[in-house]
Amino acid sequence: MSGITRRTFLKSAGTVGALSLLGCTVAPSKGAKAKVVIIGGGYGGSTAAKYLKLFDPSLDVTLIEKRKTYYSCPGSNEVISGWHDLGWLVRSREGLTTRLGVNLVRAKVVEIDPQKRIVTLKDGSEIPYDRLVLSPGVDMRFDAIEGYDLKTSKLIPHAWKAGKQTTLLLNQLKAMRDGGVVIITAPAGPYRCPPGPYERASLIANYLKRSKPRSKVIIVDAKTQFSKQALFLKGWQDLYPGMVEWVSSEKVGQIDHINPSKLIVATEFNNFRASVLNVIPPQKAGWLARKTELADHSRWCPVDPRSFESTLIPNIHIIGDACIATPMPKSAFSANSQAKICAAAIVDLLNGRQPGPPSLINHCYSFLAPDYAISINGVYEYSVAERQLVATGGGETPMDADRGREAEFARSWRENITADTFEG
Amino acid sequence: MVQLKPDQSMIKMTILLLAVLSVATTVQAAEPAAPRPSVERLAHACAGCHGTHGHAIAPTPSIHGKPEEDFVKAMQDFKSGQRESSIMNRIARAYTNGDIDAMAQFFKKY
Repeated sequence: MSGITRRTFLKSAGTVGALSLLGCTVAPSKGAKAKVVIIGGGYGGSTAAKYLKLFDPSLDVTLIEKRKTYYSCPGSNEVISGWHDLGWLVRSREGLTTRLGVNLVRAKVVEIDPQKRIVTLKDGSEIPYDRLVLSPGVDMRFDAIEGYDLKTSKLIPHAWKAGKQTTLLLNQLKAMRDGGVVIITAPAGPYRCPPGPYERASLIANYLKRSKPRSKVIIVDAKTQFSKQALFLKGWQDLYPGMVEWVSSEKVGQIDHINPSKLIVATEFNNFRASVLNVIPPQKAGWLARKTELADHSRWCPVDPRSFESTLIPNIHIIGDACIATPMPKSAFSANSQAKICAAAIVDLLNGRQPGPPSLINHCYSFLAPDYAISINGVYEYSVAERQLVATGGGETPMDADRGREAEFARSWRENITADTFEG
Repeated sequence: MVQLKPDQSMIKMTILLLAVLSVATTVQAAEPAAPRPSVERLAHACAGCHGTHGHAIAPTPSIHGKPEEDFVKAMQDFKSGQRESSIMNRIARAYTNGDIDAMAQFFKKY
């Protein structure tokens, strides 16, 4: 069998610079340690690597990530508002290697062979697996809005993946004249971070209020309602009166096209002209998941939420934004929680046990100002009758709750989930 | 074949019905409740806010190493609404008394 050799493994791992050879075995054979390979080192993949090692330190766990520097998406709206530098979003996974012995491989995966259970890297080396976890995140659908494609996104940011896109939007806001109009287009669900566009509108308004107070933000929404709506509307009224306008598709229709040279958003019934335009397009499961035919007609990946194993291809698990875990939203917290259920299920499956019922949580904060945050959460279980997850608890911040206290918890959450996800 | 008189037939049917009902009831009562998630599956989800094994960076409270009765009282008070929290009231109501007891034991260990 074409198992990984020490040489090919070293070759692929050599590009990383640092490599833990602990746990580096040849192809899985009887009595050998089980090999779990994880592709994608964001919130989902990193948590999966960590908890697999916590649950069974004897596992051979390899985390493959193509990016040299990983920027956290949670927090990126705060960078756009000028509260922090981009570097503040960098997350390192070194602790997963040094403390837990996870093999970190920096490489691009070009192919998965589900029959042979082999992952092929761009340099041709192969990594075999007993169980594979994909946490590929989202890709933008650049075919969804006329006038908005990959090339256009280099000029008109989506900023829905943190990094260069975040900086592009930030710089355009800085360059905008006072009195300008910032337009954010928000997609229909499902998409990454349902309250994200509204937090972004709030934090852009926060920047404008400080630096360009005659300006405003308009959200042109494909939806007719949105996450934490009443709380956001109240917040905008209290903090940024007259500065944030939400336009429902009920009023102006769906987006017909974007005119990139004139920065115009044309809907069925209206035209909106922007000084700075931020198009958040509809999304789909990351490329590798779609290429491997793990996504269905919805462009997302169906899974059994008791194990997050694909319902289409055995031995491959999909977690995070790319999977269908209805009614959980696509969020970093969901990915972190799903990764733990997935890790526990993999340990069960490798030991011939059927995974038991899952329990998951999502909790998402949105800032509206440094001392003003709101949240939405949910607790989820598996319903045998409905064959999917159901919410058994959760809700939104009560209308009369202390928003300053929620902001303190939001900052604390960021530190805690970072440690729980990326630190060994 | 013996022809039953109407009254006999009625009695037989009633007996039969009662028997069926009794079996149905027995079956329902004997059917075990759906199993709850394991304590590991319940507890590790909390770490998203409260840190791995309950070791949190403040102001989110650390929940590891607490006496079990303190953990249980806090969760039960959040669940009933006796103790107000803009966050935990929403979360605590999802868990059974058994879940809460098990999580109290789990976090005490760390």
